[in-house]
Amino acid sequence: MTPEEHSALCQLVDALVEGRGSEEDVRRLEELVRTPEGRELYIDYVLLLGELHWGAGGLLEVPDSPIRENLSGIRAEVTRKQSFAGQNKITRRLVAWGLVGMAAAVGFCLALLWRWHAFLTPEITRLPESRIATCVDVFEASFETPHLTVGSPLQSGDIVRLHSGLAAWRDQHGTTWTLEAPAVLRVDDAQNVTLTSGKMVVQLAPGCRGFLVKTPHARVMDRGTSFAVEVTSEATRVHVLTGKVALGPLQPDGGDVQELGKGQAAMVGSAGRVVTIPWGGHRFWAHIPKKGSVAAWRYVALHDPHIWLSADFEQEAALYNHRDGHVGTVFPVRMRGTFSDLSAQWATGYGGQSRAVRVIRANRDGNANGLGWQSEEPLTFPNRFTAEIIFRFDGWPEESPEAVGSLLATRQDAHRCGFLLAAVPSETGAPSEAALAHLLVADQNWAQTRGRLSAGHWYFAVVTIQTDEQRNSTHVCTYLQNLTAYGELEKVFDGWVAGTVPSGTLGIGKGFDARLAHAYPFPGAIDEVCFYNGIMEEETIRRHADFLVTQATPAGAMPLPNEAAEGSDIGDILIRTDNGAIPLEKPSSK
Amino acid sequence: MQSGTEGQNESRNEIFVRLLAGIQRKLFLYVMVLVPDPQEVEEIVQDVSVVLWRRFEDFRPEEDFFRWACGIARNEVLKHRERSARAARLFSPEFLEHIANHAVHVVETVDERREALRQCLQELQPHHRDLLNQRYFQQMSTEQIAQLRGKSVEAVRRMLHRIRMAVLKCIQHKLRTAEETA
Repeated sequence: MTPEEHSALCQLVDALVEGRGSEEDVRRLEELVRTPEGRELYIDYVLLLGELHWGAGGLLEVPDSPIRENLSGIRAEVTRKQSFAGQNKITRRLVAWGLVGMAAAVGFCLALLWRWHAFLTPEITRLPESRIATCVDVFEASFETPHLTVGSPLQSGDIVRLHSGLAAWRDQHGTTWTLEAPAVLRVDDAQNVTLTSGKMVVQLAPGCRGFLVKTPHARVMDRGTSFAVEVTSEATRVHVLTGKVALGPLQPDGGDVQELGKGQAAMVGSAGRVVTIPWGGHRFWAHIPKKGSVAAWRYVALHDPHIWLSADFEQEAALYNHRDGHVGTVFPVRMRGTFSDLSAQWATGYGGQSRAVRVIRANRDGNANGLGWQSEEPLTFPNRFTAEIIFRFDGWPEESPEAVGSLLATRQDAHRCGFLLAAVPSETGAPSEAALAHLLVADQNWAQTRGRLSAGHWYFAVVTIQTDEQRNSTHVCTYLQNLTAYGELEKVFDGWVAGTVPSGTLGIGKGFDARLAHAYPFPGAIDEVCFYNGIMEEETIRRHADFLVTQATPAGAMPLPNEAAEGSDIGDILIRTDNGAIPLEKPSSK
Repeated sequence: MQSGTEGQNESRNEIFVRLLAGIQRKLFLYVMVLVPDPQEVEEIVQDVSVVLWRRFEDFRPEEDFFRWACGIARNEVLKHRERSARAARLFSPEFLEHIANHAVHVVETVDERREALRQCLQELQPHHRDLLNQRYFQQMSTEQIAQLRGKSVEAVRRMLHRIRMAVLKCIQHKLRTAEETA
C-alpha cells in the first residue's frame, strides 16, 4: 500500500466510525482492505478506535466503573436508562448488560429465594439507582467529607462541601458539573441541585435539557446549554457559555424569568430582580486543569493569597486587579507602525492549550521597531512585590550586540524607566541565545544574571523585588526554569540593583526609552504575567513551577511529527520539538 | 431435588455472567471490526448478549466461549445488515466473510494491544492526551471540542486523526518489538 492509500484507509474508517461515511466510502474501504496489508491495517486501526470508544477512561488514568458494580446494579440501571437508549453509548452498554443481567437476576432470585437476606447486605442495597453522579476528576481538592475522591458516587440528598480546589462530577447522561471551592452543593435528585455557595459550571450532555440549579436567590434552568453560576451571600450570578438559560427568582411567582443567551450574564439578588451584568464566563473553571499545564499553574497563581495583578491573554488583553476587581486594558504597541496584521499579535501558549501574546522584534534598528504590549493605566508598585512570567524566547533577528528585549518594564516619565526583567545578548553573541538582566536606573550598569535563554524554548521566570528607599536600591532575586527542556527551577540572581522600580505604565514584552517612549521589543511570546503583593517564598515559587511541568511526559516523549505552524487552524496543538518529540504527520488528502 | 435444580441454575447463571464479563470488551471490539460504527456496535452487542444467554445451554464447557460468541456475533451482524435501513452503508457479506475469521484471531490478542495502547497514551504529549480525553472519556463530540477550543471542526478532526495515527504507529512498533524479543 502506498502512504496515500494507508492514510485514505484510516480516514475512511474515521468517517464510518463518526457516522459520516457514505456508501461510496464503504465500497472504497472494502477495496483497500482486500489486500492482506490493508486488512491488517484496517483491523489495527479499528481496534484502536474500538478501545478508545470502549473505555478510554481506564487508559487515560481515570478509573473505570467496577464491573461488579455494573452487574449488581444492572436491573436498576436498565429500568432507568431504557428511556434514554440511543443517547449515549454507556446507556446502550448497560442495557446490553441489563438484558443479560435481568435474566441472570431472575434466575438468582428463584434459586436463592430461601436466603433472601443475602440481598439485604449493604453492598447490594446500595444500588446505583440512587447514584446521581460520579466524581470524575479533582484538582487540589479538599472536602469536608473524608474519602470523597475520583470515583465516589453522589446520591440524592448528598451534600458536598468543597473547601479548596476543583472537583467535577458527571451524571449518567454525561452532564458534567465542575465545582470551585469554597462551595457547598446539595444533590436534590437527577438534574436538580442546590448550590448554596461557590462557583459551578454545568455542561449539559448533548440532547439533555432541564437541568435545574437552585440557589438561595434564584432558579437557573438550562435550555440545552452550558453555563456558570456563582453564589455569594448577596447574589447569584449566571454567565451563559453556550446555548440558553432561564434565570428567575427562587420562588416561581417572585418575579420575571429572563432568558439569557450565549455570552450574556445576569444576577439575582435578595430582592429577586434579574439584572444584566457584564459577561465573565471565561473566569470560571469549566474543566479540571491537569498538572503540568498553564491552566494548573494559573489556578494556583490566582488562588495565592497575595495575588495582585494578572494577565492571561486568553479572552482579552486585560490586566486584572484582584485587590479591587478593576480590569485594566493591555494594548499592543506597534513601534514605528510595523505589523499591521492583527492576527500576528496572538500566539499559541506554552503546552499548546493556552493563548499567548506575540511580541515581535524587527530586523533592523531592533531596539525601536517591533510589537510589544503595554498597560493603559499606570501602576503604583509596592515596596515588596513578586512578578511571574511565562514566555518564549524566539532568538534575536540578527546578531545585535546592543540589543535589549524587555520582558517587564515600567516607565514613570521621560527620566525614569526601569527594566524589571530583560533579555540581552549572551556572551557568545549568538542570535539564538540571550541572558537575563535587570536595570532600574538608566545610567547604571546592567545587573547580569546567570539566566540564559535558548531560542524556541519556553521559560518560567520569577522576580522578587524589595525596595530600600533610604539606600535608593532594590534587592532582587530572580528564578528561571526552562520549561521546554524540563529544567529545574534555578535561582539565577540574588543581589542589589541600583535605584528603585519606577511606578507607571507597565510594558509587557517591551520597554521604554526616554526619547522614544516605546522601545526594546522582546522577540518571542508571552503567555502569562502575574504580580503578587509581597515577596514570594522560594518554596512557594517552586510549588508554582511544579504545576507547570509534569513528570508524566519525559523528554523523548512519543514522537508526534511536523506540526502545523503557529496561528494556523490547529495552532493550539503545537508540540515542543526540542525534547525529541517529532511533529504529527501531515495528513494526505483523502 | 428442587433445591438441587436451583443450585444448578445458580451455577449456570454465575458461569454465564462470569464468562460474558470476561469477553465483553473483546466482543465489542470484534463486532466493531465488522461494523465500524460504535453506536451500531452497542446495539448489536446487546442483541448478541441476549442470544448468547438464550443459547447458553448449547455451549459446551470445553469450547472457547469467545470464539463461540464470535460465531453468534457474526450471524447477528448479518441479521442486523438485513434489517438495517443503512444496509448499503454496511460492509457486504463477502467482505465480512473475508475479514471475520482473521478478526477473531487478532482480537484474541487485544490484551497485549491494550497494554501497548496504555503505554503509548502515556507517551503522548499532555495536550494531545487531553484532546483524546475530551473526545473519548468525556465523550465530547468533535463539534463540542471545536467550540470549546475555538477551532474549526475540521481542524479538531484532523488533529484527532493525526494523534490516533501516531498512537497506532506506536502500538505497532511496541507489538513488533515485543514479538522480536519473544
